[in-house]
Amino acid sequence: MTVPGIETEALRPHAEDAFAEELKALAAADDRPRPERWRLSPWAVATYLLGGTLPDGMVITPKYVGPRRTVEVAVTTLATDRALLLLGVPGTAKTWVSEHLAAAVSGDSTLLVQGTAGTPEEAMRYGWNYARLLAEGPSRAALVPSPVMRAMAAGATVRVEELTRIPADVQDTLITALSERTLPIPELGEEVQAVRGFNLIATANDRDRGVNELSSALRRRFNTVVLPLPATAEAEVDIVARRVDQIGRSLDLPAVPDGAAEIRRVVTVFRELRDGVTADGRTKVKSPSGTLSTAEAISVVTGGLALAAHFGDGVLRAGDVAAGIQGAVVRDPAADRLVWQEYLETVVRERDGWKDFYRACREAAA
Amino acid sequence: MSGTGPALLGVRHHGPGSARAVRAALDLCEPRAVLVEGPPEADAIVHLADDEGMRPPVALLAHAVDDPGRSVFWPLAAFSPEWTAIRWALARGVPVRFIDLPAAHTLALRDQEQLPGEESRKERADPLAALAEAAGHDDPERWWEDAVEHRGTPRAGDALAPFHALAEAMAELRAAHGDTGGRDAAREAHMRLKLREARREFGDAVAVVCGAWHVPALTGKRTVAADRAELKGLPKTRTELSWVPWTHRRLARHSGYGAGIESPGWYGHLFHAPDRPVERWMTEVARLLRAEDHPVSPAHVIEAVRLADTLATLRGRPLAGLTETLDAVRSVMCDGSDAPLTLVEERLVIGDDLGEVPDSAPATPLRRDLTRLQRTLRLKPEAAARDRELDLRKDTDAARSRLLHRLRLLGVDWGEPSRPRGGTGTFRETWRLCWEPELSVRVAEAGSWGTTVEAAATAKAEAEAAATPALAGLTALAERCLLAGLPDALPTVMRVLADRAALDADVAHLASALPALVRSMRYGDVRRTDTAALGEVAAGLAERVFVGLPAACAGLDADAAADMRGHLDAVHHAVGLLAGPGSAVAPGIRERWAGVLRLLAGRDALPGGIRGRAARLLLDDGGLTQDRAALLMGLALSGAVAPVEAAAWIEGFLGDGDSGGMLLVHDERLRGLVDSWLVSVPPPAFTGVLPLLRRTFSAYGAGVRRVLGELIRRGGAVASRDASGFGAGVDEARAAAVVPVLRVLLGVADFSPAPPLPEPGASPRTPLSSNAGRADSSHPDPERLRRWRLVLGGDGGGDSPALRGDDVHMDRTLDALYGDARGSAGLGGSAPYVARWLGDIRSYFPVSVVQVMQRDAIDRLGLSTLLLEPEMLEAVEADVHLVGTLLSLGKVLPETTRETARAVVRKVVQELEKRLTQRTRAVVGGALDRSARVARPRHRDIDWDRTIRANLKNYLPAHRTVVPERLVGHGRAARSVRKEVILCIDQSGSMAASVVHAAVFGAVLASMRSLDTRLVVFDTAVVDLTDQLADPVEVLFGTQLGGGTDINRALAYCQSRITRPAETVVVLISDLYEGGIRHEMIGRVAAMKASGVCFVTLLALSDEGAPAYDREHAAALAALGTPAFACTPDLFPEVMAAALEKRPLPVPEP
Repeated sequence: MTVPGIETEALRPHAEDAFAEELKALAAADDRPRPERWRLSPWAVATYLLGGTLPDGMVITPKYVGPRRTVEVAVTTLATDRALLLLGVPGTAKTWVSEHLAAAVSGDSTLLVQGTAGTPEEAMRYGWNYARLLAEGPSRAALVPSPVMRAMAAGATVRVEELTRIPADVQDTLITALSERTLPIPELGEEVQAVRGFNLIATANDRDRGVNELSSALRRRFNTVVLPLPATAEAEVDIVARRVDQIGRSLDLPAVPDGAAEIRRVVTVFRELRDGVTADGRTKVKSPSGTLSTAEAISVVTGGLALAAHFGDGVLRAGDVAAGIQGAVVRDPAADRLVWQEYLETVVRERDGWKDFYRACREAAA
Repeated sequence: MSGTGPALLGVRHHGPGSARAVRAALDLCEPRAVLVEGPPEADAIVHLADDEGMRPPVALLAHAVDDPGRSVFWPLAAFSPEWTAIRWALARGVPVRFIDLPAAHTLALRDQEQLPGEESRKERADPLAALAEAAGHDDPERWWEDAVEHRGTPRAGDALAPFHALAEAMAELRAAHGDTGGRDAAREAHMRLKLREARREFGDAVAVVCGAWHVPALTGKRTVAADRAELKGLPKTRTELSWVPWTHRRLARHSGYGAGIESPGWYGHLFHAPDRPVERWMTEVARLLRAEDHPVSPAHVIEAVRLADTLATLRGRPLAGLTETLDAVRSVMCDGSDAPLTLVEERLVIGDDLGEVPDSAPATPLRRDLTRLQRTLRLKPEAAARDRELDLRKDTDAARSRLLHRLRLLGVDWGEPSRPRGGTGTFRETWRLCWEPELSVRVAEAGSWGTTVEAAATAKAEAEAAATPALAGLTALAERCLLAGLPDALPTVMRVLADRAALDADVAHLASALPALVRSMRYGDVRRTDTAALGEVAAGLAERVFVGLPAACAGLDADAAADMRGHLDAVHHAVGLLAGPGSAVAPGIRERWAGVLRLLAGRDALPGGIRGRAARLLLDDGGLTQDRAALLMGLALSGAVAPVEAAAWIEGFLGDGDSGGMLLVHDERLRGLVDSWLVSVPPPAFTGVLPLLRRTFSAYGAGVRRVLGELIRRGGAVASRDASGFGAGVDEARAAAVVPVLRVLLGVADFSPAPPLPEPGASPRTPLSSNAGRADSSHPDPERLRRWRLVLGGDGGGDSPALRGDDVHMDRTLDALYGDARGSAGLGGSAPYVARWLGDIRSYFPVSVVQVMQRDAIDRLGLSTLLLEPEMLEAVEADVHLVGTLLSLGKVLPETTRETARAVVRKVVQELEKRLTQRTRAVVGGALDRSARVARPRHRDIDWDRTIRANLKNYLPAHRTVVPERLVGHGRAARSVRKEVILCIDQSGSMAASVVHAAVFGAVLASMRSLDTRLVVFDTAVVDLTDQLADPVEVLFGTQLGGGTDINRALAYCQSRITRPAETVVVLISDLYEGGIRHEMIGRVAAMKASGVCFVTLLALSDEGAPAYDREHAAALAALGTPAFACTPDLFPEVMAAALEKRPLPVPEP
């Protein structure tokens, strides 16, 4: 909402607004065939996400830093008219990628259904304006279309966030939309048929337990792309250090100069437990039930920084992160505690220069 | 060049596109001779390529005659251009010549360079990379695939064109990079010479198939003399050539003999597929995934092909390649997951193809190596069986032993160890040798593993390690590697072992693997093998056992606890060896183990037997002070502890064999502990623990008990200040007394009389503090003697005090059950006697102990048949276990007893119902009410009448409408949400108590209206007892305890009964030992979870705790989000409530 007279700047502009210039330049330079109602060719969409340099020298910033293959498969999926399911643990940029894909393909990333346990069928199909329904009887005017329905009518891309949080029966209302490409409205004896260009991008967290798994009928309407965690320890340390720095500044935490070593240690622990093998690839370890995403590593380090700054001597030490790490690793009190202890005893204890860390973790565990 | 000169067909080795092109070119030119890059020595055996018994992949193998370990391979797959050319020529009777440098030189040169061939080739500038770069591709492999391999068969008449183009490109490259010198120069000189020779013989109608890189060199102008000079003075080794079978896996780059292809299976497919390679490939993938139980439909195949093709377009490739197809498979068929994709890569991209070589092929080098070894070791193959004694301290014998062990690893059972090796430190081995004719075939088969016995055995052991799933199998393999002297295989075996151990969730597995490993370590020492790796793995294994043991001991029932106690002993022994003198593998391991034991001994929640054993092990090692031991014993045996637990503790502490008794005899300190506790037990409690003590002590031999009784009667000495026993330090004087005898025994001294022993009491020693303050028992206390007499039984010595009154009867009843004469003169006899006995024990002992004794009588003396008599049944004290026993008797129960049995069961069931019904109804009912609250109704469920009525206050006259602020649904009927519960119960023997409780719960749940309850029991068959739910007694008599288990089948049945998955709770009660199909069972649980079923796994539904259960399955289920745990009947209502409300289950913490 804009209040007249007051210059407003959105806290976070939509992708298609924030990168409008890049999109324009890409569209201008793009001479490859475009699927119907696509703003760009698949090749240009991939370039938009992965970054590159246009013939006129314009630099397209990379929106997603990760394997090229992933993005190519995602874009190609949309080009073959299949729905796309982005899977990944929290903090792997699923939402970010889906937003930019929608912006690049349809020029509109606002057709969005946010999935929660309470997402009703109306959000996927259509609802009614009941007052109007009572007054005028069933008519298209009394119908409240969902983002899915609007996307079908307009031939645009609709996004469904956290698909697996949506109750199973509500999820399944998507099946008709995806397989028949139509949405019947029995109350009116009508239907909304999807026009070419309609497609759907869903995101889901693949390590969430106790949520609503997709039914196989729905699952096979999707091509699935798993967004991976950072490929190398270096990349992850870099991400964590940068984010911790940003967060620390916004929380007005005093800068801690010697955190790098501890950050590396946290990332190493997270990666080893997550991958089930030590960094040198020589010893296998059990993986705990938690996700141990990069996002969690960031929060562990931030928490440790706060401890160090407010209660410690200002230097990030093993003791500051030990409790946080244990909290992140031990999610299931029975099984995970064993995993964690076993890791401490068989990996950490023997490692050179990790004595302090071992001791801190043992203390935290006691 | 075409038509005039020889056809030079430059290829990429093992490129299917090249192979097609070669075939087309040969068809076009019809040469009179075909020259192939390969060792000329193979000319003599090339005809075998056309043999019926020959099936690629195979390899030409050249090895040094005097040392078969030195060898070179030329692998050939069906899609290799060379193979295609050879087959083409042989089919038409066209001569085939190999033109590369003779293997004699190649082998000798390689030895000289001290470099394996692969590396020297890598050093050469990669011509393909340069070409690909010129074409704007970053990946040379992919460029080659696009430019050559992925083209279909060339058009007729144009078959030579691609080769000309390639030759020109290579010429440019060679010009740019400069010719490579060294071996390549010699090779090319040789090729030129051979080509000239062939042209002299056949004219220009000759075709050459060689690596593309060499083509320009063949057309180059060099004089014969120059070429001859190049070849002059090359070193030579006497070599022999033969064909050996090869595998796709070995063609693949990452497995050693790098033929340079990552995807032989894919290449094979490209070569063999007549058309539509991608579509056919995807169909193959779908078939594979389906066979492995991944749901893949033709619709998936279609979408995968579309995705692959479009990806290829996006990436600017002419045809979808392996990368695109795999991307598509991952995304469409595997839900983005890499796990099923690995399967595709293993089975299809690489493939399992195994080549075959005809019998007429020359002998394999392995065979030659074996013959050589047989000669040098003077070990002749003879058909007649004969025994051979080997003394491992002699070098020849040790080598013989190694050879025989290696051959056994290779499946060539020439020798059988004729006596199981009992003692592990032995230096002797006895073998029964017998050379059966079929062993020759085995040797030939083993030839694919390597060229020498050692190399082959190493390779086989490594492959076997990767294929062995169980830890125990791996430790055995490690042992065999040591015996066979294969140090090179050991690291691989150890790595696999460490990996398996790291991921194994079952401490019992680890604990049973550890002793074997430690044993191998010591064994390796005898054979002077380096066992550092073993030690490291053993230490790691021990560490994992330490961490997992306390949790694994929690909540076990009696039998499982006894098993675990055995593991505790084994680990203790292993740790002792690991930390033994001279062992530097695991510093501090003994201390950490002591820490674990201390934890176990002090944790109340653990079974008594385990705590007792841990305390004892600690005490033995000096890790526990005597005070502390006394305290632990006092705690464990105090009145508040259930007698069963106390008895279990005693049994754990004092061991259940003679050794425990001997310890009591010899260790006065320990005896003092038991003695003072026994005296301090209050009289009523004494009768409570007496039968249990008697049970423990009855396990000692009669002699031991007699001596013990004697010692006790001698009395006060036990608790006196100068008690001897294991003192605080070493008593130098007394130790010195033994030395002379030892010296004689060891043969280092002659016998001379020992100095007189000092008086025991004279040595200064610290008083045993704990007993110092105890009641002065210097004169035998009659009560004390009476108690010991009862505990030890009649064997306590001839002049044991006479028992009086009730004690006599008590002793007799105990003797009947635990005495030496049990069975014959004891209880085994007549029914009336047993009935009286049953009555007696009830009159002398408290109920809880009576139940234990009854169970002992049934288990140990096989008294169950006696329960067939009605009067006997009336005499027994009814409890859940008795019901279990009755049920397991099942059909054997005669009609007359049936009624009594029913009455007994009914009594127990009624007691349980009284205890459980009310709370269950309250808790489960509450859960149902909460989940009955309906959210906002859906559009089609709206009750318009009532909605409008409810919202009339919101009437807007202007709009002539009501604003329905609150929607009212037709929810009344749906308010009583019906949930469905399926109880699925394993009726194997260990589950008796659980079955009884489940039947009771089933009846309670069935009586609740808003719940649909189904009760299914299974062994290998599945029985649905839902009809009889109203009466748990009926249900129980419908079960048949004992027999196998097929959980998978039972779950399949449950699955078929589920109509509304989201509203269904399935409770599986089982020890998870699956006799059916394992992965299908886990898959079913996953499928049910996926469809919304709330799945609960209980290891037991009883007060005893978990039985021995399959921890791997439990871990697999836990990974699916259904932790398996033992549930007490009191906790069950909460578990059900949580399941119905879809809350996390209240799993008890270990």
